Amino acid sequence: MGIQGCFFDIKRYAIHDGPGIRISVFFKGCPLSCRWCHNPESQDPVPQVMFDPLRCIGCGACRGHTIPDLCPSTALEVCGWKMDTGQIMQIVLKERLFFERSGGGVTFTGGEPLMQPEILAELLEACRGNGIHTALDSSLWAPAHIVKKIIPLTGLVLADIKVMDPAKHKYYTGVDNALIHSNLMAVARSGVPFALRIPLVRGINDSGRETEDLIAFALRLRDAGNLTCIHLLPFHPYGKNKASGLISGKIPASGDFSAPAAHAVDSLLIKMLSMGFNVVKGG
Amino acid sequence: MKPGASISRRIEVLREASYQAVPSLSIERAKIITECYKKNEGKYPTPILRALCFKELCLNQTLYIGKGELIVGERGPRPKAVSTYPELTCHSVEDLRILNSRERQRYMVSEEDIATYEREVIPFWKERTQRDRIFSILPDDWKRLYSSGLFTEFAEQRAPGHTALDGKIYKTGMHGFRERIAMALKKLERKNSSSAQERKNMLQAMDIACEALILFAGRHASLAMTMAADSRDRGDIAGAEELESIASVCRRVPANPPETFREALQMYWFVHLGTIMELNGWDAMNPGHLDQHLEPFYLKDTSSGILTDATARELMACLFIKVNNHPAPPKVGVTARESGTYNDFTNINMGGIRPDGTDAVSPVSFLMLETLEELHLLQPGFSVHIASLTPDRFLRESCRVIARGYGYPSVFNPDIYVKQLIRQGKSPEDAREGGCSGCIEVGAFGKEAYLLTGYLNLAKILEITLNNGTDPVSGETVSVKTGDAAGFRSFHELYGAFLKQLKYVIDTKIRVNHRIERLCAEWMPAPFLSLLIDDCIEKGTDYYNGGPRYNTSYIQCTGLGSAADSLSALRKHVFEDRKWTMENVLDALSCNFEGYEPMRLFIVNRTPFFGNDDDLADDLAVRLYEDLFSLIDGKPNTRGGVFHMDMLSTTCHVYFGAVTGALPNGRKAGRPLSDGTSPSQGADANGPTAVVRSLGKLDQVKSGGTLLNQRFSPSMMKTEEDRKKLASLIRGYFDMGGHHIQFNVVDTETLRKAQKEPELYRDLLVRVAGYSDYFNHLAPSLQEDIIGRTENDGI
Repeated sequence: MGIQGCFFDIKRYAIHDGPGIRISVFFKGCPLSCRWCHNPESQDPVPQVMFDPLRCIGCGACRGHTIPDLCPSTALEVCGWKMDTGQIMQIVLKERLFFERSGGGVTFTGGEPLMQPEILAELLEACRGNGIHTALDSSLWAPAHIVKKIIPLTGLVLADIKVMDPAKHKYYTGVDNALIHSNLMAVARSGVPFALRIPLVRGINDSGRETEDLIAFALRLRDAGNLTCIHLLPFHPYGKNKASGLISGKIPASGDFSAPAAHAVDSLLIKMLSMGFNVVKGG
Repeated sequence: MKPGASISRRIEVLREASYQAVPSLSIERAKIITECYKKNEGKYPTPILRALCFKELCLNQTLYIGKGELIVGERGPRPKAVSTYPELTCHSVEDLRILNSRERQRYMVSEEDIATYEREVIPFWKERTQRDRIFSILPDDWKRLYSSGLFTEFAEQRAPGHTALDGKIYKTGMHGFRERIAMALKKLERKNSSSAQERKNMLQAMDIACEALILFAGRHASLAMTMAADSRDRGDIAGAEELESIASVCRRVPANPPETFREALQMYWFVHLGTIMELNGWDAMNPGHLDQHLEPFYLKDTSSGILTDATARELMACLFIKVNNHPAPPKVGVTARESGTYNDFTNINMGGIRPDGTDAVSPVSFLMLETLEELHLLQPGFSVHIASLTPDRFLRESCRVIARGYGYPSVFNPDIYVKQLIRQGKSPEDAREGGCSGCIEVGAFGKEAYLLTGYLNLAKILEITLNNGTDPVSGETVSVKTGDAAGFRSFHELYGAFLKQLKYVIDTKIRVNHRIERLCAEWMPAPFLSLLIDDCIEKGTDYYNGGPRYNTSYIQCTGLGSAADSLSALRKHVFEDRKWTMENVLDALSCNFEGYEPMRLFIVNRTPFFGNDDDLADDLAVRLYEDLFSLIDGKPNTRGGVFHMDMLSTTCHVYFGAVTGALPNGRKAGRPLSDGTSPSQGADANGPTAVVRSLGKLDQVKSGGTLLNQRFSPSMMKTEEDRKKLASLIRGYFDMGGHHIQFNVVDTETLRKAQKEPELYRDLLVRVAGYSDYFNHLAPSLQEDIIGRTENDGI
């Protein structure tokens, strides 16, 4: 058995995470702690126990145990499991016919895949060896040497830009964005095609200075490299219920955020379109 | 008004009238048939008696020509007035009152008509209907299995049908058929054996049927002329001209081959009507590859300038509305429970391949897609046929219509069904001219009688295996004893007992079916239908008696997923993990899991189930499928053909579910079984690619069709990009040898049900925001949001 990674989901027929029919592999663990995170169970890099009181039938099967496998209703469940490259590839290869038919492939997402660079590199190489297209969905908050090593291995980068203002970025995500920006520029210069994914949250990054800076940065990135598309992802307030299910490990705090106004999204969309960007609303 | 001049208005009016028309019963056919039998029975051989009855119908049925119609003819005196067939099943006064008052699938019938029925129809048919004949020969062992819901029988109240046509009616009219009949008779001229005499009788009967349909069309021509004269008197010149054009079409077809696009449609419609007036065969009638049949007329008429795309669409819409005007004849008893629908299953094939193996997609295929999208009525059903050589453009356009959420077109794979037909012994040309009719069943169109004999309840067979041949629902012993299940020491022992039960039930069904087939052939020959299927004329033999070139009997196996999952649960938890004893599980089943909810949930959540691309469960489904094949396929019928297995359930999985107790897969008593070859409701949790990979493990060439239902949210098919991916999913499944797939694009009602019973809807994928998730996994507030959004989508 090779190196193991920690993952929290594998989704087949993922049709909104890159070109074609894809399989999305979700890495568990993220260096950011975005206050609006809609996958709070993705943040802690180790398996966690989740409990859903609505599913619990009070049968007592868990009494005296800590192994959620005994729970008949799956009210008590472990989120996250360890797998190695061989095990992941076994599932990935099952979808090969659909990748070929649709021009799809694998999307590595999370959490933050770059937090587990060894197994990520192994997986990207295994896919390349099998002629399978790969996409890396990342915050790009990772040491520059890791980014430099990983990027040439992937077919497409889906890079998130959360907030432009450095202080706000630090406040809302827990990390500085200078590293992210320099890594993004490195991605652009690498020549690997990349797309930007912008989660838009009302009052935080959906208007004014934020969007102006965003456009300026996007222009620089476009000049530097192969920017294929910008995805505007209006925030949706649905992560909260999930967070309340975590009962072990890191339990992220959650704030109150709301979806951006439709006109704010549309005006940004139109502005970007007018500047010749390929922009779409949604994944 | 010229055809096409106001397509939307004309079709809008006709569509609305058809949509609004309330199904009712017409007792006219029953009266005419009863009179004809009274007058002629015993005077003529049965085929001729049947032909004379058909002729009486053609001569005496009240005709209907509706305002604005371009294609004319109804089975009854008005749209959705459905005939009864007392010679097959005579409804009692009580039946009629139930039909008139029941909540679902109601057929209106007046007290006056009920009184007439009681006086003139019912007494004559007492104990002499086809149903009476069949029930009089049924042995007790068969009846015990039937009453317990182990199988159904198609012939007990409707004539076997399942007929689809090739292109011959467009090349030869009734006159052409009469010439072929005369030639066949000539060959028999000097033969005097009893079998030669039988053939002469049959041919004479077919000749009468030809003449009858010509007369029927002639009456329509005369009525149209009378109505035209009235219109002219009223100063409605355009209306009069339109009626005159109807008259001229009805004078040409069906006597002669059609010359125009419009005549071709009217030709088909008269033939369709003839079939459903003669008998109430299952699946009404199917035109087969209608786009291929119409294509030469379309090309000719558009190049000569008498047809535009708009008029072609309008004329096709007129035909489709006619089909919608004909609800299924009302059923009674078990058959009403297993098939509770107005749909009479006319299925129109589009695209696919030509008899020479080339791509059959034509401009007519696209026009037909547009037309069905515009109409979206209950009937007819439509299917698109996607071979590896079918252009992507046609598949993409089909996906666009699928995304509208009307439940059709369903999607078929000709590469596989041609192989199925060739495996069954058809020539390559006949196989390629074949396709799918009704639901998913394959046949060689225009050359085969592929009769469905009834559904087989695989889950119930497991249930009686677990109860040593006793039906726990009734407490009666209905089958052979295969041992006390509590004493089974291994999965091997359990499966062996299951196979013995399966064999006993199948053998009993086939043995009795032989006798039923003979009754159909002897008492209910179909001289009109026989005209349409090669080689009934050349053989001088009836459709039900081996006249067709190919003669198949299908047994439709239902509940593959339920049975495989139940076996998987027993294997894992009882024989491998030994979490429970067989006795524990049997106790739980006998209590319908009451008091055993933890066990039930443990099974539901922690058992390998079919449809997840998990070999542990899929291998069991494959094993079951292969065993069904070896127990059914190749058993002879009495018509010179053999039995094959078919994997469809229509709505029978609901009836079978209602009579089946709790199952080891955690399904509670009375709940529906899995449908077709689909995974059990909610068992598939790994997405559609995993489902089709599981299905791809079945060697589908060995069946007469499999059925896969997939449920999608409209948001999964919203953009052109989404639909391209859907098209790739279909192509991928077909690459793996899939026969059929259809998509339910869910509506709000389904989403509401999914909220109430999430366990049954675990496979329901919805698009959330930037990603997709299972509906079941979403918080209630988000579910509400999605429900709202779906409505906003306006689909």
